[in-house]
Amino acid sequence: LSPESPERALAASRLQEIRRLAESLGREVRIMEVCGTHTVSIRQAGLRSLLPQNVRLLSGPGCPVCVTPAGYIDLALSLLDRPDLVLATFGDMLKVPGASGVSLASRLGSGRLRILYSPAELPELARTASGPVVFLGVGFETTAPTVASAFLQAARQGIDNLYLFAAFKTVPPALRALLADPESRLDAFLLPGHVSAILGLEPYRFLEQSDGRPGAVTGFEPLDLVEGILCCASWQPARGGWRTPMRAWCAPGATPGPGRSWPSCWSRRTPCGGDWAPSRAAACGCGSATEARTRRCASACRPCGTPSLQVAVAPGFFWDAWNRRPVPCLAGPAPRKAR
Amino acid sequence: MCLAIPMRVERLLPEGKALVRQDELETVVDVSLVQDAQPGDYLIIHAGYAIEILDPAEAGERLKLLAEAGIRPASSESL
Repeated sequence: LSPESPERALAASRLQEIRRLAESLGREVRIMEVCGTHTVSIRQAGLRSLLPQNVRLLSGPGCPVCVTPAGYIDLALSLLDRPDLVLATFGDMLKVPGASGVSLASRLGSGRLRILYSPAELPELARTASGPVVFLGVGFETTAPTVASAFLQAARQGIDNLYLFAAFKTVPPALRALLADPESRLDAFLLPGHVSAILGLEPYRFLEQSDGRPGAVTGFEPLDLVEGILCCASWQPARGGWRTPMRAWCAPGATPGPGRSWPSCWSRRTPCGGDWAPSRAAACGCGSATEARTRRCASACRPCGTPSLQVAVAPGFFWDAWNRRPVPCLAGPAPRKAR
Repeated sequence: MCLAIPMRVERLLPEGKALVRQDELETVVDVSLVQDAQPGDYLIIHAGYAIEILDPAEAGERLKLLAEAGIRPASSESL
């Protein structure tokens, strides 16, 4: 914030309030910023140096890319053994190593690894490809519906060579795991606004229900973050634990996404075991599926427990990554449609 | 990948797309995940898709903060 900015003066008064509260708490307050974009904003604004010593910001729990299992990368690489197959991925997946240390970056220059900015590029990529196109579906709740949308669009266009290798993650189970870990000793979470644009606040209510730790949904501006920290620091157990999370401009809050901004096949997600493990929800490229067909298939193929890494290897079939064999989609093979 | 960028709708395009702008950057994004995006709306863009329309009425906390700081947005431009 520039020295003459009115927001700077406001941030200064908020920081003063945080200092006062921190002093009255008289112990260390450990707040985790869940999102990497928050971490970057905090660093750029120099927020850590402005906070009192007993307010600690911890970065975590990791982005959905960097926690991708090595086995997932290995399987993605092995898919390229098929000579006509094209792998499509976000660029940040390139450096994630497989079990032997080999990453996708090693296949750059092969002409069969395509880096996408947006899943919206997938239908056209598949339409012009001569063989199967497999998209590496990695991301949080923000990314999953965009991928599903692209697959539904491809299905509507009768594209039958587009497949999804899904390893999406969801945020709340990661927070549960962190709270259950006695060593992390977390007092509060700064929660990412854009994830709540999809999720809303309900999935975080367990913070309130367990033992009353606060979470503040905030945007990404320095002032948003200072407000979020103040919201966390002003929490006191004696007062009942949960303070309504703030609604920053980036976090539309309590009346968000599900059913409205999610494609229908993603709007119901079945929780299953294995926190922080791959994918609760998987759409699939069931060949030339109609939209209804895709929806049915996505619903039937949703991995609950094992196998949790799935890739559609042919219309109506998934690759079971753990048992290394193709398994039929419960919805059955989709009818092939002429291009 | 995790970035969420606010951009303003310049004009709607066919097939659920829209031309959006932020400062010097102009690009085409998919608006099929949000309902009724209109020119002038601010959208949160993630991976080429609009995932939320920023409604000034819903951004109450932010506006309150700005007012407290003596900043009075004359129009949605100030958001």
